[in-house]
Amino acid sequence: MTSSGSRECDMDFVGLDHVRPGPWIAAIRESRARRQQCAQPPTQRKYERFKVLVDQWRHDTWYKSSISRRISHIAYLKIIGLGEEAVPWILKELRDEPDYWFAALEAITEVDPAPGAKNLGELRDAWLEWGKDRIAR
Amino acid sequence: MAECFPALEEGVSFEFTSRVDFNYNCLSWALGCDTVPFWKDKGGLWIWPDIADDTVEGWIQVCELHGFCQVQDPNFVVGFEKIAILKNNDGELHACRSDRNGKWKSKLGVWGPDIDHDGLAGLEQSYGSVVKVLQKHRPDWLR
Repeated sequence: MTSSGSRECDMDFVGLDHVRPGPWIAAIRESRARRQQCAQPPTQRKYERFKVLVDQWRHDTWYKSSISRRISHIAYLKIIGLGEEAVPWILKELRDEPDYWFAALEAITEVDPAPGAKNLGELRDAWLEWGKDRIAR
Repeated sequence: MAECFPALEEGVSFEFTSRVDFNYNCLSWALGCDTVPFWKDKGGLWIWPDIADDTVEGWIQVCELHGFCQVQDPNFVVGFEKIAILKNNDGELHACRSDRNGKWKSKLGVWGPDIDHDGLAGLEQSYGSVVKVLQKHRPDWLR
């Protein structure tokens, strides 16, 4: 057992490139990939999940004019479901690739930093000011 | 782009006229505004409280308030600016306007860029078919 409590498998140290291909090779490779993924910190896995959801949301909704349709997409709802941990990541997205993240931020934080915002630029500026100490690096 | 609008070919039937820009939507762009989206949701502008912001009838009323009147023919007419409203099977709306030379100008959604495009058929895959056409006389286009 390692200090982190995970079991190491002796087969991890066996190179497979020289071995004649067979169905059991694929099983070993898949098993290694799963163990490597599980070895990542939970936050890293969650961030990767977040990125997948962002890509999925953008891919499916970028051309839609209706905000209500965009923010009711299942990927957007799942992003909200990631909770507080996703707030720095969402703020970083808002800063680097502005999009309608306001509904997600408000749903997670229950904060409205710009109740009188007249346009999306003011909304964005207000959220980035509110979260300036929390934006993901 | 190709996935959502397979009938549009860059350099042939459309060209980009802006980068991606989330500051306005198709309706505001169709009415000549690129600083704010026209919708009731937060961050948008909707100064017509008695008009729905997500129906064909609502969009028609807003266009009429901007001097447009309903017509049947979407084809180019010298001296007239046209707006076409499209609706797909999911009930989602799109609006675009014509310029003085008959090119159509669309803002692709909230997040997408603007494009100039020939005709309206290239939008069908994602935006559906034309459900309403309006026009406004533009005597300034005749000078």
